Amino acid sequence: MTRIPTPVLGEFEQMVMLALLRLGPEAYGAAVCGEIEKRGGRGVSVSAVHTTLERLELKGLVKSRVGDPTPQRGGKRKRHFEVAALGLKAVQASYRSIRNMADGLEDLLGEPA
Amino acid sequence: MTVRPPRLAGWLLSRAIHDRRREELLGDLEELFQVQVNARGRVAARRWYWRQTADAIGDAIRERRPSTRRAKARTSLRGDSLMQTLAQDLRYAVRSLVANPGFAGIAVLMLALGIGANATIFSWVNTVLLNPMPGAARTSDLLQLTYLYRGDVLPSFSYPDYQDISRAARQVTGIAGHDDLAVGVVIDREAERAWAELVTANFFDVLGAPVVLGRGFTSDDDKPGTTPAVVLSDAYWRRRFNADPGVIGRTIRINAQPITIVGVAGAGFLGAVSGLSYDIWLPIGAQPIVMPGGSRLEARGSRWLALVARMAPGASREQVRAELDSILDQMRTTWAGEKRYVDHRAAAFPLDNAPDGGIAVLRPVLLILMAVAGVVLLITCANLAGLLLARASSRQKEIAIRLSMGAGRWRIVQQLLVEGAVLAGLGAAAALVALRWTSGLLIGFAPPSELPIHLDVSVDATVVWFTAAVAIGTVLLFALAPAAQSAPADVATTLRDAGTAGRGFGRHRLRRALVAAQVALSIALLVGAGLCLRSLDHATRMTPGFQADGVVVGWLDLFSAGYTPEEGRAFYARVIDRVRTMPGVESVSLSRRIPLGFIGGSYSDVTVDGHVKAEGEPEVVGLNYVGPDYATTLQIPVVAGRDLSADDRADRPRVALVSESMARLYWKGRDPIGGRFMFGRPRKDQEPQWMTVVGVIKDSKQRSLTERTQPHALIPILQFYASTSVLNVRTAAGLTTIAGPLQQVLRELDPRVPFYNVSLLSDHVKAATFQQKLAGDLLVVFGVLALALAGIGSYGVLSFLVGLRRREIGIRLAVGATRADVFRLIAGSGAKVIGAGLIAGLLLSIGVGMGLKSMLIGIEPTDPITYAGVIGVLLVVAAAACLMPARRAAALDPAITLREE
Repeated sequence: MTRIPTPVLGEFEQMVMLALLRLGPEAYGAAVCGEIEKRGGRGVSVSAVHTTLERLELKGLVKSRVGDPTPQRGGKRKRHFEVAALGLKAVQASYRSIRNMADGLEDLLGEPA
Repeated sequence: MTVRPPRLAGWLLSRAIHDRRREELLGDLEELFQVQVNARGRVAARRWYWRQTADAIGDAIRERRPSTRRAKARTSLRGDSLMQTLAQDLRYAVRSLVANPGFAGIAVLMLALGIGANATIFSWVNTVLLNPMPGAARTSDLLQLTYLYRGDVLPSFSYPDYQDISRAARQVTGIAGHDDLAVGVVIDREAERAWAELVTANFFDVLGAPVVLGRGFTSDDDKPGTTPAVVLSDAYWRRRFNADPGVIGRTIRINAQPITIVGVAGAGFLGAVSGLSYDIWLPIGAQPIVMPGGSRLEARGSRWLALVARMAPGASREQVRAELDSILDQMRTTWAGEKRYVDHRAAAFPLDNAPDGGIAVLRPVLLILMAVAGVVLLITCANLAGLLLARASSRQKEIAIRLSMGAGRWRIVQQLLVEGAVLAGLGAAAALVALRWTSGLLIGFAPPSELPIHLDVSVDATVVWFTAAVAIGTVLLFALAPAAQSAPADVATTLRDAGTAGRGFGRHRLRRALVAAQVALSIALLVGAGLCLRSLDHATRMTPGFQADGVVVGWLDLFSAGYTPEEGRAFYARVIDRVRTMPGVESVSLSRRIPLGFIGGSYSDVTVDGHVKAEGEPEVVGLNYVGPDYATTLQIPVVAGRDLSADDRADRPRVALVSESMARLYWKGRDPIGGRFMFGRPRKDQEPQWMTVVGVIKDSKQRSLTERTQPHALIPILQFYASTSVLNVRTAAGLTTIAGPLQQVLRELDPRVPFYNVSLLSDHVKAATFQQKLAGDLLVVFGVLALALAGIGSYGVLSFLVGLRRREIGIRLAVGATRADVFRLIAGSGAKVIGAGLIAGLLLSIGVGMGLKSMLIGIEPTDPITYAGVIGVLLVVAAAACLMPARRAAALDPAITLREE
């Protein structure tokens, strides 16, 4: 039996995936943007978030479904995204490698040990 | 209220984004936009939205063209194709301009002004000089024929002259004659004024102007006594007949004569006089019945027709002129007995250089303005070249890096040129947008006139091409020098030194030369503007000898209403009596024409009782037919005797007023009052028609403000009669108050008599200063623009040089130079540049003054006040431009500047 290799996430992809995990099953583009801005402390291009989400879905890391329109969106529908099983693995792998790499550097990185 | 995202951005997005995710992306953007509005306000939110739009569009483009990206990545190792590098440069240029919005904005604004000025003036040149006769075919083959008499142009021919010449001429395919005439037209019992051109039958054929409905004139129409025909202009046909094709064959009354409509001319054809638009054309055979004063078709001495000839294929203007001269020689021989055509020669002018009419007035002004606009563009280019040089210097390190990485020099130059082209393109686009408005400004300068002036400036393809060409030329001018300079010869040195170098003062000779050139050119422009304004000022304060302010004028045409001289004189008397009693009217009179109007005066030779003509004495005196109280109404001082009165009627002894100069000339040492003179020479078969001088009036200007005082006489219109005249009303009430009641009174007296063009005499007198006003106003605009550019340029160059010399200045200060020394050093180097510009500019200005000489009134081309004023203004601007950088240099802290390295 061949194992599907866990895909490697790019830096921005990690941000998006983490945001999806935080937001839960109701996550959608604007919420992801807001989360990255709030926690990641940086402005993002909405278009870039969408492109990334689409790419992640193509790789089978996230699932999406079309939601309901709301008035503050000018009556346009949302697309909700949710992390798929493979996606969760990929995030775990990324996080592990980051943690491993950062191990012992807590003083330098200003993190509590 | 919710704030909506920018609509244009939304539209762009909905076009750019793939269908697949359009809805959710737009929705997300809108939702986040509201968040931005609440958090950071509307303006910031809009800016955010636009940034997001740009990102999304960029992503979409990248997504759609993955293949080209890969292809480029492959080929870039082998060297790119021109199109690819151009596209790259274009992107790079746009990005680097967006990154420097201040620089880009100023550059585009300057270019828009420079290119816009040229496009505007060119649109006028295009209309007036390049399209002198719209609607006619191949106007470059058309010539205006005139006589030359002792160097003066005599533009009119008699009908017999015309017949002789057109029969004999072989170098032309045809000659057409024309003359203008204001007529009264009655259509369905409704009377109105129209401008007619009396033309020979071949008129439309010679000009190549199509008659689109019905027919043109045939040679039968030329014969006197035939039932007259009329051709309508397209505009008149639409206005008065609602473009009804059934008008052909209808009869209308023109100057009380029944006349049949036979055709409608093509749209766009306005007539044979540039700048005027006629309503109708009448065949010359109709002249005796529609024109006052009887038939002019047989009299060889009556010159009234203007001639236009079309050159035969292969013939040149000189050949036409030479042939005309030889025809004239024959005519002179034939008529030697009557001493006709003595000292006459022939001349042939291209239409765009006609010796009279609107073109003669506008041509010199337009040519001057075109040159001036070119100069403004040169200054703009010099200024921009300076700005780009400064940018290029600060980018030398970047460029050196690119060169060392293997970029070709041409590649760098190309990139800088593309950057220039983007700027010029934006400037030209802005200029074209503004042109829709600025091209129409010309008509605003047109003086009021009784003539049907038509200055409809249209922006056609020629203008757009010209603008594009100017923009391209501009790029070459302002971007090439910096581009060439910025490809440094020695990459290694540049990499080491760039940005810090204290050398390079000499290398910036080009920039200093550019500033000096700007100063010189702006001085020349300002001197030109100053001379025109001083002329204008001089002219408006010059008393022409009468007081135009407070006089309302309006034209009367009794001929078209069918009056006989007896009826006309009686009508004039009634008009005067009636208008005098109107409230607000101080005095009223009539005159054949107004002084200083566009239409020239009449002249006659006179015989003065008891005076023997001396050698070199003027042969003619100026004449005007005027009503009672004319001198009073125009406030021309009566120095002896009396003004004309209502009693100077046809049944009383003939009288006249003479000007002081006429009195001095003919009644030297005698009392002119009671003296007698007559028109022409006494003839044996006729009792002399003497007029008795009853008053002497001060001299006044008649045709132009610059004319030498000319003897002239005023004779009573109630005794001599003229069928068209001007009602002169002096009133304290304004034009708007009196115009309506005047119209009303005239209608009550006789509704058939056209009373038109009611206006202020002072506005007409302004026509005398039309050239100075047009040139002065525009030169001031251009001059101020140029000076501002030159000031900014000087300031920029000095600031830049100070920046380059920070280290040197630091060292000087460190080794003991005082701040005053530094100040002097920098201010001095600025003064040197500006001084050089000043000297060059003054030399240039002398040339400009000579060029303007014919337009100057009351001042010399070297008018000291103008020069002093311009130098003063320049010194102020120069001081401001030099002192600020110099003060900054003097305030440098050597400890800081030396540590910077």
